[in-house]
Amino acid sequence: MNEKKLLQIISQITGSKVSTKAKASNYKKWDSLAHLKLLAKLDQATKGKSSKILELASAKSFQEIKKILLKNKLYK
Amino acid sequence: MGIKILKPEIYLGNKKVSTISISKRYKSQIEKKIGSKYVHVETKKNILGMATFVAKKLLKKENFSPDFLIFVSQGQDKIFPSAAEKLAENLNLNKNILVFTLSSGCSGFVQALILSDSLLKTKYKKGLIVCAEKYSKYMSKNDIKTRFLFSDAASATQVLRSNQENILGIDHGYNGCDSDSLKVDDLTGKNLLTMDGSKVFLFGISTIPVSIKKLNKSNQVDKYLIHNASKIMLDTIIKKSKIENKKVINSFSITGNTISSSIPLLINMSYKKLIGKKVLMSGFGVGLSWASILIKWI
Repeated sequence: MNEKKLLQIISQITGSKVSTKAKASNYKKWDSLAHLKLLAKLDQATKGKSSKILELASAKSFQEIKKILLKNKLYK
Repeated sequence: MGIKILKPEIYLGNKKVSTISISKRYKSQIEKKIGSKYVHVETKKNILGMATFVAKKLLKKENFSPDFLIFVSQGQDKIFPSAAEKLAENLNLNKNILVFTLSSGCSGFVQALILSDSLLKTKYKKGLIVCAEKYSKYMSKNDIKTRFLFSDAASATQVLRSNQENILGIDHGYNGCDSDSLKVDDLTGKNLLTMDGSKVFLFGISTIPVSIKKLNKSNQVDKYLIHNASKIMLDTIIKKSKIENKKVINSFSITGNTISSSIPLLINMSYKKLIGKKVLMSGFGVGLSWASILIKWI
């Protein structure tokens, strides 16, 4: 996972281009359903590794997700 | 020796509620995430009442006397004693049979099958598994997202000893670190159900595809009875496990998540289609826990 891929995944669920400052609270479409979709897409992109990190459940911004992925060595 | 599972009897809560009527605001979420147009709420019976009703119906139909009774339930009406003995009394079962409660949620039915298989390999020849749960009693009226997910339900399933060894594989496990993701914390005094849906989702999509893969090494499974937690959960598990959609039974056209009765409901819906087939059942949720079993249906 890299910045480009993570931005692409978040853009897919928000339905618009996002920046590294993206937060769920700023996007109406980033609701609880979209968050589950995001978690599924992250899992797919990390070949099933990210779903084992339950901490991601509450990560609701680009930066939070990046931080957790970095900590778990899933982000370059 | 193996286990023969007969067609379960099912009881759904007496009040059928349209999920859209709970909240029109979440219409799109209900369709894509939950999948069910209805949930069932029990307004009259308590858990023991639901369990007694469904088990009596099965016993009347099948006319059998079990050697053991496993009552799968977490939300019993009393902290103790366990309701299993009262249930056995209500059913007028033989006084010398083995009776106990298995405190488990959505994994409970498969866990009870695993236990039953072990018991049936000893002196016991026939057993009764009764599952009953009434989550509506723990739900706040304002907790819309939980109210359109769960249904109150009970089931009764007869299991018999078979001379044919038919258990092809078992897989189970738990994650105690995140057990608070789905709970009713009585210590708060509020007695309300709380769920971190995203955590439970991650738990399901990380464990069940692995469990399925372990049991389906040679791609031999004909039918999958995977706990119907929610549509998005089931769809993601199917996609990640790379299994054919047509092999997976779902009950979303009937009701919502029926907790421990979820797999009995799937068996009830598809019983004839299962005979002679290799069937993988997988339950997961509260605990957090999961239990899967691959069985040649006889």
